[in-house]
Amino acid sequence: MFSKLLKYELKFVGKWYFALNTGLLLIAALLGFVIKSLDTNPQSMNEIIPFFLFLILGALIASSWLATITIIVKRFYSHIFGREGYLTLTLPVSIHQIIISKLLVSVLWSIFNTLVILISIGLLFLPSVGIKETLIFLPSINDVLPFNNLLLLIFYTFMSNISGNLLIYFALSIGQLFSDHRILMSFVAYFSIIIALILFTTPLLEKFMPYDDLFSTPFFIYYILAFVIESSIFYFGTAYIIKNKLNLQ
Amino acid sequence: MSWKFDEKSPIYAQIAQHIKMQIISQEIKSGEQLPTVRELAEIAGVNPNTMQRAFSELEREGMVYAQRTSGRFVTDDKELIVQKRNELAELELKNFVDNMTKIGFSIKEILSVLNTYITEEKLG
Amino acid sequence: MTPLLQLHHLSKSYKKQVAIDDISLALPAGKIIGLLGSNGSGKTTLIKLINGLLQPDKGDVVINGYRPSIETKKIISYLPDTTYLREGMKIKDMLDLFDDFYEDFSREKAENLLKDLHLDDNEMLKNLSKGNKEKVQLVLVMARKAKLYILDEPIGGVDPAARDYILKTIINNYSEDASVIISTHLISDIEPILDEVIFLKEGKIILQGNADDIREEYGKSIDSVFREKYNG
Repeated sequence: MFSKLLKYELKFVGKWYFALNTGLLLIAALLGFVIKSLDTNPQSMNEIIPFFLFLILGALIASSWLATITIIVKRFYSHIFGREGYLTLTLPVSIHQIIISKLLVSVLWSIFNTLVILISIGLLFLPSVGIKETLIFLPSINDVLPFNNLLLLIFYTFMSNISGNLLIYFALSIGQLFSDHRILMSFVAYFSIIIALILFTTPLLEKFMPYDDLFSTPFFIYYILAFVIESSIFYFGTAYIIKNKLNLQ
Repeated sequence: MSWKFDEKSPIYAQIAQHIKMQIISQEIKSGEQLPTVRELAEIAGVNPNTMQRAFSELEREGMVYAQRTSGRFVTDDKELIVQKRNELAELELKNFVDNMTKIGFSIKEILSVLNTYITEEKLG
Repeated sequence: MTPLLQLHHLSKSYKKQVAIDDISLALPAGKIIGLLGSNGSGKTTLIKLINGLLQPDKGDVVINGYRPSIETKKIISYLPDTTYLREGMKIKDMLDLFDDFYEDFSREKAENLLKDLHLDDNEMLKNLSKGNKEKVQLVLVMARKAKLYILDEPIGGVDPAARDYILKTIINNYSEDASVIISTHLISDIEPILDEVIFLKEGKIILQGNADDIREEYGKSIDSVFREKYNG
C-alpha cells in the first residue's frame, strides 16, 4: 500500500516543473559561456545582455524554488484538507502512511531543486574554468570549504529538509483548527514557530558550544539533534490534528 | 421503467396484486415460469427483499408455486384462477355499486345506466 | 449473527452544537437502508463517524467487528455528497487508482457501468459536467464488492434516466452479505428500493423500521410520513 501511495505522489508533479528546472540549467549554461567570452574578449559584448541573463537566472532560481514549495504545500493541502480528502482519508491506508509518503516525495523535490540550483551556479563558472580543471579541483573542495565532515553535512541538510517540510505540514494543519482565515492562520503558525525556534535554540547553542566554529562537528550534531526533536513534534502534531480534529467540508 | 406504486398500501402488496392481475388476465400464462426475485426486482425497481415478500404472498394465495431447483411457476390450477377472477370481479362490482350509490343512483338506475353504457360505448 | 454495523451510545458535538445525541443502532447485512433527515439532522456527521473521518466524543462505532480503521476502510465503499476526484486525472486513471488500492474493485464492472452511462474513460475529469462527475463517482463505488456501501445523495444531481439506471444498479448490486445505507432527501424516488428506514432529527433517531410495515401502519408513503414527522 505504501509503495502505491508513493507511486501516486510521484506521478503528478507536472511537466512544467521539469521544464522550469531544465530551463534554469540551460540559462545558467548559456550565461556561463557568456561570462567566458567576456573574459577573453571584454569589448565584444554589450554589458546589458549578460546583465539581463543574470536577472533571468535569478528569476528562474526564485521561481523554481517557489514552484517547489507551491507543489509541496498544494499537494498536502488539497489531498488532505480539500475535497480530495474524502478520497485520501477513506483509502485503506493509515494516516502515518499518507504523511510519510508525502514527506518523502516533498524531500525528494526539495533536494532535486537544491541540486539544480547548485549545478546552475556551478555552470556559471564551468565554461570559464574548464571541465578538466574543475574535476581536478573537486576533491580539494573539502579542504577549501569549512566542512570537515561531509557526511555530517549531508545528514544535516537532509534533516533540515525533513524538519522544514514537516513544519509546513504542521502549520497547514494548525490552520485547519480555525473555522475562518485558515490560510492566514497557517502563515501565522508557520512564522510563529520559526521565531520561537530561533529564540529557543540560539541561546542554547551559545551555551553548548561557546568556542567552536560554525560548521564544526558539534555544530552539526547540535542542529541534527534539534531537527530530530522538531521533526518529531511537527510530525506527531500533524498526525494528531488530522486524526482527531479534522472536519472535511 | 420502474413500476409505479401508490401511497396507500405496502409496496409488496401492490406488487403481489399487480402480478396476480397479470395471471388472471393470462398476460402471464398458467404454468409459465416467472423471472427470479432479483430479475423482477430490478425490472420493477424495488428491493429484492420486498419482491421476495410479494412472492411469498402469491405463494400463500396459491397463485404461484416454487419448485426447489427450477424457480417459480404460475399455478396450473385453472379453477383457482377462475375463482380469483371472480373474487376480483366481485370486488370491482362492489366498489362500483357503492360509488354509484354514493353519487345518488338507485339500484334500478344503476342497472339502466350500465345497460346504456355498455350498449353504446362498448358494443356500438 | 453479528450485525454488520453497530453504534453504541454514540455522541458527537461541534463546539456547543449537539450533532449526534446518544444514538444506538444495529444493522444486519443484506439490507438497503434509507437514512432520512433534513439538513442539520446529523446524517452527514453520522456518515463521517462511520467512515472514520470524525472521532466520536462518546460511544463506539463498530463495523464487522472493527472500529473505524484500515480494516473497515477496506470493506466500506463510500460515496460522499461532493466531488472528491483528483481533477487532473482521466477517468481511467481513477480506475487504476481504485484497482490499486481496493482488492474488491472490479475493473470490468466499472467499465461496463461507464459504457452504459455513455462515459468515455479517456476523458479528463476536470472536463466533465457536474452530473457526469457524480456518475463516475457512483461507478467507482458500485464497482466494488464491499460489505457496506454508504451513498450520500446518490441521485441528487443526475437526470431522471440516469436516476433510474442508478437505482437499478443499486438493486442489481444487492447481496445478502452486504448492506447499503442511502442518505437522501429525495425520498419518493428511493422509497421502493428500501428495506428499512431510519428517520434522524436533531441527532436522534425518531423512527426506525421496515419500510413496508411503516407504510402499512401509517397508510401513507414513507415520503408522507417523513413530512408529517418533520413538519408536525
